[in-house]
Amino acid sequence: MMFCPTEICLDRIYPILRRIQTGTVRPSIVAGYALFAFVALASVGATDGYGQDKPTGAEKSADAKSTPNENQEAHANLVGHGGPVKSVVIGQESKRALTGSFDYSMIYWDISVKPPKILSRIDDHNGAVNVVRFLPGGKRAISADDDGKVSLWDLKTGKRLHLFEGHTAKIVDLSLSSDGAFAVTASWDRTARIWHLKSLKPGPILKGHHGPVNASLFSKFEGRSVVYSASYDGTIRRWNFQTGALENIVYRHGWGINVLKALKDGAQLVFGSLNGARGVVNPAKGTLIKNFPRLENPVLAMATDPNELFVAFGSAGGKVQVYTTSNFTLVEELQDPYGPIFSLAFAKYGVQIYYGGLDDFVIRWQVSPRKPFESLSSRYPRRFQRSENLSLGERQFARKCSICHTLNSDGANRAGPTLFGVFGRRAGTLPGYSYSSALKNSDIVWSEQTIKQLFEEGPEHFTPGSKMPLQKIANAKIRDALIEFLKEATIATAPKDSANTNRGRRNNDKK
Amino acid sequence: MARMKFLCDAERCIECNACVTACKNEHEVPWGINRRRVVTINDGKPGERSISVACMHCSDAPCIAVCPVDCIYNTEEGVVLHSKDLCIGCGYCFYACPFGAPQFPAVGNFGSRGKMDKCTFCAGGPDVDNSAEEYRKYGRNRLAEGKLPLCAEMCATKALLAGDGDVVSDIYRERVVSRGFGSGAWGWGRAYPGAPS
Repeated sequence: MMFCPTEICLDRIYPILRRIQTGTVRPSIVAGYALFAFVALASVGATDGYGQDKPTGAEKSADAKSTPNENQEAHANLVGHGGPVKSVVIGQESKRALTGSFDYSMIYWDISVKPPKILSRIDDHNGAVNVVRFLPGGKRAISADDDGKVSLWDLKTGKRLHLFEGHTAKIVDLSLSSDGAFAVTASWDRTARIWHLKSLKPGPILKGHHGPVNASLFSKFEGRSVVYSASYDGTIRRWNFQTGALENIVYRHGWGINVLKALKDGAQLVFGSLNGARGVVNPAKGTLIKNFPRLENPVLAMATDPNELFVAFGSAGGKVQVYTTSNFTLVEELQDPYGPIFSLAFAKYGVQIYYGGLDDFVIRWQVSPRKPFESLSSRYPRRFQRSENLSLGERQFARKCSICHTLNSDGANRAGPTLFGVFGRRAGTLPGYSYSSALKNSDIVWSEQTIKQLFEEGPEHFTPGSKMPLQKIANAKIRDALIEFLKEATIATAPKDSANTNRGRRNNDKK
Repeated sequence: MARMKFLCDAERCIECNACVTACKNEHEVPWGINRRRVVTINDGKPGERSISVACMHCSDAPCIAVCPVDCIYNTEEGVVLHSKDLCIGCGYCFYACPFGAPQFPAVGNFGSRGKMDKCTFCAGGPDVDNSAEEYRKYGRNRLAEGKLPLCAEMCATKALLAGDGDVVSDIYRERVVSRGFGSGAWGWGRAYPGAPS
């Protein structure tokens, strides 16, 4: 099947053009790209330009899933999640990585091999995983999720060692003390909490912010351990590590602060804000010692390399900027036109950056030396952003369901189980999917009638306690169209069990 | 085509909260959700200022960029609306909104959050204009009735202005000229250091 060469080229030309517009591209890149574009045009055939067969109409129609492709693997992207990636961290010596995703899972990666290999996939969470961290030594990990819970994991066995409960809203940040004995979490319940990871007991609750707490970290102040937190209320606060008492409001930015890091053993605090502002604060004086040029969009992610030589910011507009920490000079920047940047992590001492956004994969960007051709890994529209030339039922699936479900026998690690063969299946019984206990004990059998009921009443009433988000379809015509589409698409699609060998398998598959 | 804008004149806002009440009542906004709120800075001190804040219907809205189900969109009139049929309550838009506009009722599954709710500029949602379904999900569609947002209409001091951006800016320009140099938008000096605040 032929594919429009213009489309292929635009995929590659666009980021270059963006860089020309912003004045960040080198002339040699433009010249080199002209040659590349010529070759691409000449070689266009049955592939989509990513070294992958173009899907047939039926496959594209029935699935709309983003298939990992050889190009991504060649570029060492981390391909395996089934939803947006909210957290990525790189282990010591850049051999291992952890990622946390909207798909309710954490993946443990071996990134020393090409393509990166999934060592284990832990999907025993009751909400989207917002933050993951290695504990010192790299044998244990900790994750925090939308459900407000913190889990301690043994990475070798994939078993949960402990579940910390206490927050009443989602947790969006977690930081470890340098010895790994304590964790501090930031939650949208307007508190930060300290957890004892050795005694497995909850510590002090840090109360006082007037809005959701977006960031928290351990640091030093006048030679002693303290905790800092940053909030939507626009403040950075310092807390007593032992008692949890508020010591000082270190800085008032006004606009909500999303991200916070400490540099130079606590002598500097770097923050990124909702209004795109970024700055460095002297916590002793509470003064701003560096004000970075403002980004056009909110700052959603920040990372420092292990030696704290560089700090990187990621924005809702898809911009990544890398600064030195010695004099805060901009050294590199990347514009992903299909942003946003939810998560960032340095690897190889600042030479590489891994970043996650709305895609199901984490992209590896070579910061230095920049590659002459930086291919675009993301595709637009993504499967859940399609609206063109689709039937009413198919459009409902693409826009409302495909973020969490596939129609193939391969569930693609999405947040929900595959809908392949859903009609006639008892709820909570698909092997390999980590169901909530509410659905495991359900006696519902999925049929036209029960699916109709599900969308008439909403999951919160029809399947209370399940992982499914609120999703009512009150309009009978739209609901019926979706069910009609599902009746055909969940049966007619050919199984593709072996399609993705690089994908992590559900824990239950191993049991 | 008019580009709809809100503007709150901090010289006039008296923190009466009529805008908040009007919005809540007009749209039967559920318990626990406020689409609009009044923020007061330096409360009880010299230089106290209040401004009424809701979704500012940004031209390049960051919430649109981060939504994983692409449920937020711009209308031709520059109003930022969203589809509650598509929204899954993930909360990513809250993370990206400088104004705290997205609100989430604490009900249901999925981390105990419901679908996002926010100011619609009294323009409803993607359902049929002024249908019962639209009202149930988004509240009244006053724009489709040829009316402006009720919060601004109810404002006794006319601190809160809403409507065609050109008209709103003309009114505000007139006020600033009449009040004299330095009486411009509150926060101007903070946004542009060196300028009069």
